[in-house]
Amino acid sequence: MYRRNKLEKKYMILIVVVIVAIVLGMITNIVRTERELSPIEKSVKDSVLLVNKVVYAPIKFVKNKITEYQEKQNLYEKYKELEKKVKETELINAERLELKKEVEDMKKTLELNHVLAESSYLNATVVNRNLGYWYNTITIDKGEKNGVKKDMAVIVSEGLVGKVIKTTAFNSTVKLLTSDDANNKISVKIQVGDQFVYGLLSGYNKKNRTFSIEGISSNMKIPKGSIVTTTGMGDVFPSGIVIGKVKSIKTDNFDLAKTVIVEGSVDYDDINYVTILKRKDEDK
Amino acid sequence: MIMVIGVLIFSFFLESIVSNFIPLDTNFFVPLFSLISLIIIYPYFNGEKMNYLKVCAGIGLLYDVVFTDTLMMNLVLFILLGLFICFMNQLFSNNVFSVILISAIIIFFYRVMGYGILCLSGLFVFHMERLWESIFSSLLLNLIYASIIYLITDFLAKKYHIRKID
Repeated sequence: MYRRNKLEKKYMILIVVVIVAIVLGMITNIVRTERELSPIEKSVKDSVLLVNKVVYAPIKFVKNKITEYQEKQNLYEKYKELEKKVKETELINAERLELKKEVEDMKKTLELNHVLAESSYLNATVVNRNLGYWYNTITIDKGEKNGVKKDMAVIVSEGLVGKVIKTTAFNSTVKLLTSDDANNKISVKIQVGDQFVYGLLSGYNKKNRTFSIEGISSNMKIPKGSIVTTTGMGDVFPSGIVIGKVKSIKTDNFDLAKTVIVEGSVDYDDINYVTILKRKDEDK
Repeated sequence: MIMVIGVLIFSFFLESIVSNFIPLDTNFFVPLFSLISLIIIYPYFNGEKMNYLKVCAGIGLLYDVVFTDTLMMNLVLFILLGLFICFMNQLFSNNVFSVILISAIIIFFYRVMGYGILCLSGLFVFHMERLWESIFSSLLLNLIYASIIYLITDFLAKKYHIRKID
C-alpha cells in the first residue's frame, strides 16, 4: 500500500512537470515568435477596445479641453511664431521639390530600398500604453482597414517611435524603440560633416534615457551633438528618420570597440498621437 | 454577482484608461487593476473556488488578447495567482489591511513569475535591478486602488446585504 502510494506520488510529480514544461514551451513559442493574431483574437480585441474607446471618450474630451486651455495662454506668441513660419513655407516647398528630385537620383545610384520621401502618412491616437509592462508597446486606433501592415514604421514629429508588430481590423500594436527585447536592433547612421558613420542601435538605458550604438564601422571622430538617423537598410524603417543626438562616446580599455551614447529626440513618456509611415506604393 | 461583474469590468477598463495618463517610464504608477480586482472579488464567491478560478482564467485570457497579445501567459499566471489568493484568504480575515498585504504579495509573485517566464524564453536577459524596479513601480498605485475599491465594495455589500466571506 505504502509503495503504491509512493509510486502514484511519483507519477503525479512527473505529470505536473510535463504539464509545466508543455505550458512553458507554448508560452515561449507565443511570446518569441511574431505570430499573426487569429481572427477570434482580432475580433475580441477590436470589440473590447471599441468599448474602451467609448468609455474613454468623455475623459479624453476633458483632457483635451484642459490642454487647449493651457495652450491658449500663450496664443499670441504662438501666432507670431506661426506667421513667421508661413512665410518660410514657400521657400521650403521649392527646396522640397528640388530635394525630391535629388532623392530619386540618389536612390537609383545607391539602390536604396525605401526612403522617407516615398512614404505617405497616417495619423493615429494612442488607445493604451504599455499594459504588459515588459514589452514596451502601445496600442493605436488604426488597423488593417486603414491600410496598416506589420513592420510599418511609426513616428512623431521629433523622430522614430517604433514599428507595428501586430494588427487587427481597427487597431495595431506598436513596439517602441525603448523595448528591452534582445531582438530589437536597428541599423543607424551618424552624420559627421558630409559623411556617415554606420552602426547598430542596441539597447535603451531607462535611467539615463539614452540609446547605445555598437558596431561602429569607422575610426572617424564623432563630435557630440551629431544627428543619428535610420539607414533604410533592412527594409523596415525608411532612411532618414531622426533617432536622436550623440551625447557621448565610450571606448573599451584597448580602444578597439566604440559605443556611442545617443540622447533620444522623442519623449517616450508622453506619446498620445503618432504617425504611421505607409509606403506610397502600398496605398495604390 | 453584480458586484463581481461590476468590479471586474470597472477595473479592466480603468487600467487601460489610466495607462494613458501615466508616463511610460514611471517609477511609481504602473496600473495592475485587473489583478487587484481578483483579490477584491474573492470573498463574494463564498468559497466556490472552481467558479472563482474560472473567472480568473477568463480575465487572464481577456488580458492576453486585448492588452498584451501573449495568448496563454496571463491566463496561466492569473489561475496560479487565483489559487494563491484562495490560500491567502484562508490565512487572513477579510479587511482592508489584509487586502493590502495580499495585493502586495500577489504583485510580487506576478512580476517574478512574468519576468521569469520571459527570461526563460530568452526574450530578455535577467537583471535583478529590473525585476525590483518592476515590483516597486507597481506597488504604490495598486495598493491605493486596492484599499479604495475594497472600502467601496465593502460599504455597498453592507448596504445591500450582499453575502461575502469575512
